[in-house]
Amino acid sequence: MIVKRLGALSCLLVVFVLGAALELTRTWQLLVIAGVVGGILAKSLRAAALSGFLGLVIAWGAHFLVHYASMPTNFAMAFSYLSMFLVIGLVLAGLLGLISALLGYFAASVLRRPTK
Amino acid sequence: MRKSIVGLVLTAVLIAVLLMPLPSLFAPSSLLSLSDPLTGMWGSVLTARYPPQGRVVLPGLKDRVVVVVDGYGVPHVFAKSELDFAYALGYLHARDRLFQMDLQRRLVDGRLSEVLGEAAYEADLFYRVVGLYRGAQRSLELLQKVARGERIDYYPQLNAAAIRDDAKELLEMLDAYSKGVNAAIEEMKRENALPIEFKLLGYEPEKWTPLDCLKIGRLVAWGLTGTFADLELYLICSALVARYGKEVGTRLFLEVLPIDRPIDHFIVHEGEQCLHPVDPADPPVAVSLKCSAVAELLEWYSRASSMLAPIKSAFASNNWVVGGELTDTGKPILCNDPHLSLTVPPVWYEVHYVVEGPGGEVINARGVTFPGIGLMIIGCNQYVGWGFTNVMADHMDFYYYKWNDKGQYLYKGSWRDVQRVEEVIRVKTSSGYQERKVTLNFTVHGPVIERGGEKFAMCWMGERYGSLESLALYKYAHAKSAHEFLKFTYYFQMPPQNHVFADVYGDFGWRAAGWYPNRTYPNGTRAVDVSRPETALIPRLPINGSSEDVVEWNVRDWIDANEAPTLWNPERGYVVTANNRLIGREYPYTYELAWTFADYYRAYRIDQLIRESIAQKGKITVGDMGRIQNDVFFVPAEVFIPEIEKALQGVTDERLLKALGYLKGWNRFMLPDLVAPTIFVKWLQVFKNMTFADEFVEINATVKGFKITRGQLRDLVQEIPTSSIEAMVKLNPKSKWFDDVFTPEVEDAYAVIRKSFEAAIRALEKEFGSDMDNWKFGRIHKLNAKHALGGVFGWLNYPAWEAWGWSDCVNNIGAAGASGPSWREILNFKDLDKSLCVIPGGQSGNPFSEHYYDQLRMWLDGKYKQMSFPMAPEQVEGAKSVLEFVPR
Repeated sequence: MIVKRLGALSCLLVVFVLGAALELTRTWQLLVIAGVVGGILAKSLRAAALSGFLGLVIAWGAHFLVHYASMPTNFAMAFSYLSMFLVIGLVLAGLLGLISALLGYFAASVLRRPTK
Repeated sequence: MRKSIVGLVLTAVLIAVLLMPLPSLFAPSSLLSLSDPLTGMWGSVLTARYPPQGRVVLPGLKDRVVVVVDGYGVPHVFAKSELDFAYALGYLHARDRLFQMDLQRRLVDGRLSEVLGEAAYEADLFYRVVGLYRGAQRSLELLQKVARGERIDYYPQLNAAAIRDDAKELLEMLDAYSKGVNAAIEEMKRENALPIEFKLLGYEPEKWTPLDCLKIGRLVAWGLTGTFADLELYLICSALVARYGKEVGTRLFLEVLPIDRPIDHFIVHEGEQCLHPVDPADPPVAVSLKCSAVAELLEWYSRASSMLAPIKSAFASNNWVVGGELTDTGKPILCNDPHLSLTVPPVWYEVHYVVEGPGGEVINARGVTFPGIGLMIIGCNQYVGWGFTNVMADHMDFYYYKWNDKGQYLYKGSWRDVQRVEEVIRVKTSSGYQERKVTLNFTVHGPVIERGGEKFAMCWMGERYGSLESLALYKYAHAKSAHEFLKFTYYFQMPPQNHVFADVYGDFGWRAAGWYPNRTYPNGTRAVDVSRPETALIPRLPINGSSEDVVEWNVRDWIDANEAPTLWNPERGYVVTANNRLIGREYPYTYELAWTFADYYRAYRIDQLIRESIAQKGKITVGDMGRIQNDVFFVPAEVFIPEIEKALQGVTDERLLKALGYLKGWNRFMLPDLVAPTIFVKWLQVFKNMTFADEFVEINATVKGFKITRGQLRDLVQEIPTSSIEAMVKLNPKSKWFDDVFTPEVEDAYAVIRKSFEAAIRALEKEFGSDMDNWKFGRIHKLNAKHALGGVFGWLNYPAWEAWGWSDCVNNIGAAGASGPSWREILNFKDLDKSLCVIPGGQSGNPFSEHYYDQLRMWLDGKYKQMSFPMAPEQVEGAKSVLEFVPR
């Protein structure tokens, strides 16, 4: 199967959309899939890392924003107490995206090894 | 290629590390779980408030229930039946306070270490021994027996048949309540919206049961009667006897802890008591126990009590009722402010409800509930209202025995085996759980508590016998008059409470409702005899369980609530209770009512303010009542400042004179921007210490086997009633207590007052600098309301705002700022909708809710919110949310 390889921006979009959708399953572990898919599609190691990291940071951030809009007072209160957790959460989600994208990228590289 | 394989392996390992579930809160997977926007702790924000309109399907509900949540988060429940109300209340309690409920249940069960780990193990072991859960189980069995119409062996005077239907209804109500709690638990689990604390601790709550409701009741009872005072008194008494001999030691003991306090203020005034015949009795039994072991036990008790107990360390409350003849409305006004620990969230949860009672009559009631118990505890219906203060009942005795080498104890002439029960405590560890087997031992008198080679059996009513106060509370909501209410108080067994009550018809009164153990010798003779005050010490010190003449509770003859002191429309027109002594020696069981009483200061002050208001204006108003509830006049200051002036006559030190100047110019109000309260409370603390600590320090050093820690010494000294030392200064200023045993001179009270004043000023200079103007009371007295997890997650605690009032003020915000009025209500029986109330915090236990502490400032500033009783949903003022609960 020929998979078209994408640049960083396109990969980021894929990771973001897939990540945001998988998050709706309420199982954050599934976000790995979004990262791996992004990595498989990425043209370069850099594109994989960037799209994986930012894709999941934005996906989680988007969910926070949606929540925030639904109950701004309560979320503002929560953010004021737990801003550190918010940052840690976003960074960890980014790391999860980054590592899973790299996993996808390396896996794709191994699978695409030239045949003799 | 090789690079790719290495990269693949490395990233796979890293992913595995990120995904691996570990018990630590700081593991990456835990942090990711916690910070997940949908399922992590942010999910708790989603339950922070009720939606403006909502429909909840609750399986098991019989009819539609409408819940209107007002601007303070108080639910107004409109239901067709009490069962549906209980169901809805369970749901609301769980949505707003589930973690509080669950943690208290775990405390009772001795299962805290399952979620808190090793830190809670000692407390778990303690509560397993104490057996609050066994008491709850016995209460459930008692209710079930009563519902079947069976006779109760240990309450032979109880006519179970008369309350059979009530017991059945109550059991159904507890069941419906539990179903409501479980419906909310399931819903929150489904929505990943369990309270944040569950997520931080990484566990989920188990199902709620009717037994759990009774467990919370037992926790409250433990807080109000589960005292180890007998052991504390023993420690003091035995130390003094060992050092000074029996005669002088006993005299010194009775001087600081007198049976009848020389200066006091009773609830019942002269000519208002009831009488009952009494038999003669024998003198107290001498004791000789290992003091170091007693001290160890007290240490254990103290550590376990500090573990999340919501009620502990705050034995105080005020309530009073003024009859219509003295009020501007012509109808009674009733006030209550129970002083409990200031916890986060608060101890109480407020609710208003309108339902049809079992006979089809409408009940329109409002008041406070304990989360976890589906019953209103304090409050009012459309006819009658009530409030509680603790009687300080002596429901706890300690027995010591002669033991043989086989581990048997001597009882009534024969050696008996202890009964053994094996239990397992699961302790959370870094790698999972560790199961520890513990053996609980029981004698005929109760569970054996053991430390340092000394064993006691603990005879606590809450463990040994089931009790029916839940039934009494259920019936209170049904009362249609004060007269009927009084009848129902018969079933309020423990913890005995001073009930003040009033109704819309104008009747009012007081009863120290509860059942009190009648202690007798084996031949049936009463052990405590009012004509011989020294016999009052028998239940206040450990009892020899191996004696032929062992004093035991006579369950064939309780002093029941109908024999408790009662006032009905007293001529003076009002009744005040503030944990003070109930009644004098004209009442035959006066020494059996309580193990101690609070100092008279609060009761005296309330009494004084009521009389002043009436003298000034002829009548008292709701506004006056609010001012009284928030009064911060400090009676001990009024009592002692003239003595300080006397002691400092001739002193030339300018610092001392300046400090004295602050006291002389002070109006005795404990306000945060004043300097004088800081000086006075420091002096009082040092004065107590200088008066009493030297003797104990010397005893600690010289008496063999007597070893108490500095902390225990400090606590013992500070717990000596201030009124005792007042009496000593005024009536016996040359008491031996005032002499410093480490100096060659013989000091009297005034010498100690002078020395302690100098020492207090030095201590304050060290703490706050030499500029006295900076010693504002607000710097030392701050609110200290802590969440159970507030030690780790400080943001869960309430703000440490400056507080006013102090222990022994009517507005009794304790010295540590961690206890105080846990609910203030003022019931206006002319127009109940004009009643007032407030809680110290907010309705919600969710830190992201606007109701987390929206009443705190109001409470601190002495303000109130309206306590209305709307008959229909559309009449609720300031409605923020309308929820419809419908059956499936």
